Amino acid sequence: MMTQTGKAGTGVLGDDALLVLFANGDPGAASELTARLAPRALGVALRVLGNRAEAEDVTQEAMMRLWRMAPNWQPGQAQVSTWMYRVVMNLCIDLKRRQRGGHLDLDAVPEPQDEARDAVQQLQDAARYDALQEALMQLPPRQRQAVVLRHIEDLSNPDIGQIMDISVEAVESLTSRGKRALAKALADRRADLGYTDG
Amino acid sequence: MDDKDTSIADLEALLTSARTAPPATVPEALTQTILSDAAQIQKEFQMVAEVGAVGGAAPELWRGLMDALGGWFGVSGLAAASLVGVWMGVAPPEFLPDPVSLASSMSSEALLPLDSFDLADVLAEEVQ
Repeated sequence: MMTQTGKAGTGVLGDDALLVLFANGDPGAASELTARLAPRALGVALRVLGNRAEAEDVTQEAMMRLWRMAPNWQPGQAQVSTWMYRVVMNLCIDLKRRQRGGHLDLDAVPEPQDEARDAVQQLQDAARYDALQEALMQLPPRQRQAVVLRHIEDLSNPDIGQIMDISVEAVESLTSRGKRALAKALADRRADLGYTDG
Repeated sequence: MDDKDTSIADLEALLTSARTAPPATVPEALTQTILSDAAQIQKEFQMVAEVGAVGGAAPELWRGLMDALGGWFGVSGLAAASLVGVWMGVAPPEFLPDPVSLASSMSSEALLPLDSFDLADVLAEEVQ
């Protein structure tokens, strides 16, 4: 028999409990999980891909995988949000790999993407946001992922290691190199961004 | 503060701004698509559950039969006794005659006492 808690009753529950409710047929659980996780998935996908349409596709697919996985979720083994970040990151890599004919050199420096500016402007108009996004898009994909997860999503290094399937030391290396590259890319735009010496 | 420090400080400010910015706004159309996907998947879950419930009728009969035999203990005892019976038929213990040789050597004549002694003598002894 289906559980029917309704939307109002799910707000205080953890993601684990909501997934169980969803697997039992509760429609309110789907709404609550979507409200919690879809903005995070979209935000991180936007930062990593720099393209709104692609980021939305990735978000939809990530949520679809969440729904399908719900009956098999084992509460307490991992955080649902960590699982979601991992799925989003893998989908982003898969998408870029397909776009490059099945090959993606994760350490290669990509060409700056012109569409990134338009896509991000739809999310926020601030010039600094755009500048940061443009600088992020100049980083190699793995560095970009690590920097976004560490310095924008504010995740811990162990969590990032779990999401990216790398060691904590590798995370530290990627974020350190990424920050240096970002600072260098932004150095030429200080005046445009309103920063002054001193 | 040199250029490098200034750049890092600027970057920190940008990252802090990005970190504290409101979460990405999910377009209503995307939200509806996600919820539609969720509803579809829940229907699939429900169908699987219903198929499982229909398939559960036959097990009900077995459960009733098992209860009539005394539950798991009763069924286990019955199964063990059956296996022992089969095994004793195949490989009987030393103290029991081999049913195979018994069947082959024993003719119908051997079962009759008439050939081993004279019935008339026996009857005569009883009379005496």
